Amino acid sequence: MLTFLLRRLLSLPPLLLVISFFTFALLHLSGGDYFTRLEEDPKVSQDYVMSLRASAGRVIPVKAEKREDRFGTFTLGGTDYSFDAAGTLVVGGAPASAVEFQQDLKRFEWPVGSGDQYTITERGEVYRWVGWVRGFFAWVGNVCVGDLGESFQYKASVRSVIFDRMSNTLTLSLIALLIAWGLSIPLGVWSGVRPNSMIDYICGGVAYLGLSIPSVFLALLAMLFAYYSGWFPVGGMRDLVKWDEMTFWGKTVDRLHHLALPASVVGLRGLAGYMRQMRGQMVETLSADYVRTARAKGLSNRTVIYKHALRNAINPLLTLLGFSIAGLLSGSFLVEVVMNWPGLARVVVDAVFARDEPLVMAAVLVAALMLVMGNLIADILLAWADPRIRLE
Amino acid sequence: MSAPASLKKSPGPWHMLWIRLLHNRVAVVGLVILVILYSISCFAGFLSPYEYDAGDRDASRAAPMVLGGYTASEREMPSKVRPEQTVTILERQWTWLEGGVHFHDQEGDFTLRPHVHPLVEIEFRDEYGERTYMRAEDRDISLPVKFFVQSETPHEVFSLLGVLPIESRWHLFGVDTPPDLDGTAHVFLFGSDAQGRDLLSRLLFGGQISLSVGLIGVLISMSLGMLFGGLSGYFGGWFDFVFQRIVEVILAVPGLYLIIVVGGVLRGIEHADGSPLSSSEIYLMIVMVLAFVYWASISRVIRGMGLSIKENEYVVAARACGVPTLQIVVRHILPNTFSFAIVTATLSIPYYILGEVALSFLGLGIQDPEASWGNLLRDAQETSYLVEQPWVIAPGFFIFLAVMAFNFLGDGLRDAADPKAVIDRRQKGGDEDE
Repeated sequence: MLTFLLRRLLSLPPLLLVISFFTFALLHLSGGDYFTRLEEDPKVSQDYVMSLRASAGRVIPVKAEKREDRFGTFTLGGTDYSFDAAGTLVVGGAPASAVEFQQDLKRFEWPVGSGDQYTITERGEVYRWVGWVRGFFAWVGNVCVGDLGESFQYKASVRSVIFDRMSNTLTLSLIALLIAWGLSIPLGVWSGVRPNSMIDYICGGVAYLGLSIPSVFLALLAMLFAYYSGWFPVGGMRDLVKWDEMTFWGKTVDRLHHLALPASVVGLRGLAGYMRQMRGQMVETLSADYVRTARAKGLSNRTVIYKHALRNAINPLLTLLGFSIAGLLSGSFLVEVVMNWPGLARVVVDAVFARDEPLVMAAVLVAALMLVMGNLIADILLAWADPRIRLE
Repeated sequence: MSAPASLKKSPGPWHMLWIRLLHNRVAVVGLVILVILYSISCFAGFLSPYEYDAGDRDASRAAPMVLGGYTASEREMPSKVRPEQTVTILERQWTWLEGGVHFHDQEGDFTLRPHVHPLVEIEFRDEYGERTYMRAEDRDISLPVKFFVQSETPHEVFSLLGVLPIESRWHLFGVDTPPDLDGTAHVFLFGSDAQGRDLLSRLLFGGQISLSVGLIGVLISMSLGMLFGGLSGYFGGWFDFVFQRIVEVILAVPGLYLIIVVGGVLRGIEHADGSPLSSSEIYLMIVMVLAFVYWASISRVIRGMGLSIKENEYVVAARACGVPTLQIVVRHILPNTFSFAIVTATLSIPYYILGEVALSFLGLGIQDPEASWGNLLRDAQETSYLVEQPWVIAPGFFIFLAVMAFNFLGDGLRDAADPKAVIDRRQKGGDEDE
């Protein structure tokens, strides 16, 4: 067990490293990033964009005193360029403005064939481009010391942007999980004890519906329901007008009021799955020999069901609990978007659109971590509940 | 060589599977729903009264004509509506201007000939004396809704993914509008969107994309999954090791995140000359993204099956006879995973359909004016739009129908492919699966 745990935990860092690497590569190789969009805006100066790039670690400024040594004289498009000792651009023996030569200097390779790329901005600043592989390892180094970088869009640390949103998503998912588990076990037991009864058919129907109805559609229906019945707020997470004046309890009630519908929508799918599983297990266990023995020795129906059958039937569901932990961050994705729940989903979609790369990287990392840990917990729970299973 | 009449040829395994499937009522319902859905989307051009991109801005935001016709939101409405203006108010929030399909003639008698009235803009003064415009029906002109009308230009009436298109001028139904008509006349059975495009037509054409994404995507990832999973299960060794690690990486990222990041990144791809991707290229890209995301789980299961099948005597025998390895995999191992593969494919098509819906709904997939079910639901993202025009969620119902039908069929196929498991379950007291 311990070796199993250790091995799984040890395999985690390389797995996350590979995932991050591919995500990083994907973001970089498709061409165009957050800054190229900025560059297209005529109101934003090239120097400003380059300084943003420098602070994001995409380029490294070349200091004025080092320029002369590094470049010497270089020829681009038939013109000879060099730097003087003060780091000013020199063309044809006289200091010159880089603005006139932007077609050459915007991005060039020097020495030709070396792969090192430089940009000399309109105001004469010199930047060296960082290759994406090197950029990736710089990112990994930062992540290792707990720095997820700074979001381009929000101009704030990724950690602060994600933390808030993640806690909102987790609130929603955990309440949904509570609804799903709280209802599915009693309903599953109930219909499992009476197979092919009316209640069994109704539960079976609800389960089929819950597994087939797309969450987008259900969320939209819930929004319409909220609007026409007036019983629930139409989307959002809190009362925008009165929130600040509310007492603690008022806030709690308001939050629960806003949570009710989205959590039910998210929970229905889980409810359907667990209920079917619970029912199947219950039916199977009730036909086992030890249950027959228990009945034969005259135990009450109640004791047989709750003490003998249920305790054994519930074991396999523990695995599902692990899997539902794995889906905590991703299970409510589309519901959040539809019902305006300010969770991780909106941020990720916006970040993908805006090419806010540190944010996308962090979101993928966190989601993957959650999934892998959830699967691990599922395995451990299973081994803990069923001593016959040996993890190796 | 003549066999006695009593000794009929015994049905093959596929025939048996088919017979068992037909005995499953739920599976047959699923099959019928799917056949209907796929055929109406193949014949979308013929069944829909308009083209998916044909819009009339004067007829925007119409309510479904099956419900009553054009709506005007409260702010567009005069506060005092004179009864002779033929404006009926059914709901408090909305006012329903007549503009639907009518079954009553000028005298108010019922006729079997449905007709629409052209909509004209009427000018009147509201209670403050301000000049206001409102759409209303011109009751003096009746235009019949007819079966089999011809459009001015030929259009595709049948299309199988753009293959084998058949062109013609026929529409199943529509309104003939005289060229000198004052105002506009349309038949919008499901209403129209902000650009005045018929929602029913867009829904039918959207089905072509949303439904085919599932089939093509599953075909690609099944072949990938079977090839790699089969080889990996059979060979083992370093091939298996590398392959398993790749699968692990893909499976470690939540599917939706992966779809959105990959889809979002690929959206940024342009042609070398900077022009954006065409709609068919975007379609292909979506299929690729979905196939890439979902092939891993399939191949992992196939690998497991390959591992167990290769221990069977007939595989050992084939190897002893010196059959080349690839031939063993292709001829002996893969065919034994076919029934499983078909069940898995059927049960996983909903994920592809929902994946396309998610991508297009978030704006990363099919782009306007092209229509897909996810793309159509984008209109519902705006809450004010959703509550004023709740029928924009109609595509959601079709998605639901398709997903449910595939689940029905898949469950039925699984039971038919493995009858022993069903009998086991029955003996244990339940007929429910799992």
